[in-house]
Amino acid sequence: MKHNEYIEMISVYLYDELELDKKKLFEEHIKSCKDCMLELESYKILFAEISKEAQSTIDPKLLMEARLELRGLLRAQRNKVSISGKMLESLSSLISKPVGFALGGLSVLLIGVLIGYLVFKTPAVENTKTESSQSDQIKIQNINFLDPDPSDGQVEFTFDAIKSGHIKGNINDAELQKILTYAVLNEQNPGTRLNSINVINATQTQGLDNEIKATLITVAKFDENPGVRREALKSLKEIPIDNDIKSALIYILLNDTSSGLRIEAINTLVEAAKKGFSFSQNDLSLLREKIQVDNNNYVRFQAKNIIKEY
Amino acid sequence: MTLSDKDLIIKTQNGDALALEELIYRYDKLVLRLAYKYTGDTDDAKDIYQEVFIRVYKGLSDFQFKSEFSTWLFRITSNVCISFKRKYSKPNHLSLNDENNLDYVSAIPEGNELSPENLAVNAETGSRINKALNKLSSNQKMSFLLKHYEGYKIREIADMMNCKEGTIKKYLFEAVRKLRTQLENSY
Repeated sequence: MKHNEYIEMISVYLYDELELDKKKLFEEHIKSCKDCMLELESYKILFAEISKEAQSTIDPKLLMEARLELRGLLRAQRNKVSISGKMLESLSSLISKPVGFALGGLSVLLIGVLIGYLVFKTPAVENTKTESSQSDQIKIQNINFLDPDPSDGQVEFTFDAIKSGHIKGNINDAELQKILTYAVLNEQNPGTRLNSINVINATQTQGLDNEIKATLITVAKFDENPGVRREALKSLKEIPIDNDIKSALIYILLNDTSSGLRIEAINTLVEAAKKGFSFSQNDLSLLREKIQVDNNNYVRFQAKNIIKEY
Repeated sequence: MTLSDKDLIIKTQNGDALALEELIYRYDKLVLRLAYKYTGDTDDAKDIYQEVFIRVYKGLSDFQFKSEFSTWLFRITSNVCISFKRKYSKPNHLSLNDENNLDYVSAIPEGNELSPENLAVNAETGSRINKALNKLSSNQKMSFLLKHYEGYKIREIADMMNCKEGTIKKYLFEAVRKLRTQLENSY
């Protein structure tokens, strides 16, 4: 093997990914090759320097911004459906098999009518949607053309196919809670998210489901609306504190731009400290940092109180 | 009990939005950090982050567990990074003078207390490495980041970047050689 080939092996050797036979050859070679030995030492220093840099962490604020933007995008994506897939899927879920073929044909006809209306820009589109939604209980709206050119015989567009639902039941019903949990995370209207949290809050008499707790934590940390964050935080305060909730409270304390929410978070942490909840050294060092930087006197004062407890 | 990636994917495939969120939050710090290291720009990193997870969302319904989720995710991430075109003309490096950039990736390893002097040295080292990284080709840089920052095996990186192990070894060798030259020149 040539000298240069051994040089090329150095990094793979340091990754510990050389095949066994090559590793033996390499180790034999460097015993007698001063150049390769020096090169190896130089690589070790370089890798150590890179390794230090590789431990750097991403700023939580950047991560929060990215997550909020992603949530908005995913919300928009969920509302989009493909014309061929979702329309037939929704219809087939509504109809029984014996009449499926007949109504399937009808659905294709409806799609054709809808395309015809849209492509030729009929002024009666609104009426057509309403009638269609009344007859099969699916509302078609937010049509967005991807390919509006009919010259090749095909067009492509997305739309929202919304099936109305109505549910009335016990507030502890699992299905009902699942819908509300989904609403808390995904509803565009902050008022609806707020109402959903209130209902969830009223249901939690027998301890909190882990999934709901995780949702409340996510919302308290990341919801773009401070009122919704506050309501989620209030719900969390009603639950006996554990490590997940403590981490969420510290996150809010360190990152939330609303001083009101930071005060809620620090008050909850103070209460927990008084009741004997234990804080790690890392928690305490974050609180010490908070004493230095928070622009709210009360938050700084309460952070000091927690540290005094230890 | 913590659910496995596979459990979360199956739940996501059945329409569970919370499972998708948990799956994303399990890996998104790594994706964002990789994107930031790759581009050196917070806005570009966020754009890549969004693009990666929208592709994950769209592709997850067809995911058939032929590879690990993380391998698939980083394959998407490396594809998006490599094909990423800058929308706006921005300086292609991190600068010590750019306080915004230094804010976003801390050079402080988690849990370590550093003196102001050490902090300055670490920030300077990080800046030099970042500048040197920007001299690498797309494939060299991505191979290097996946190896040295994310700790993947050469075989795994080859799988993610859809090429042979020998090719990855060449990328890594060239990347390390260039980085060493760049760093030596910057002292």
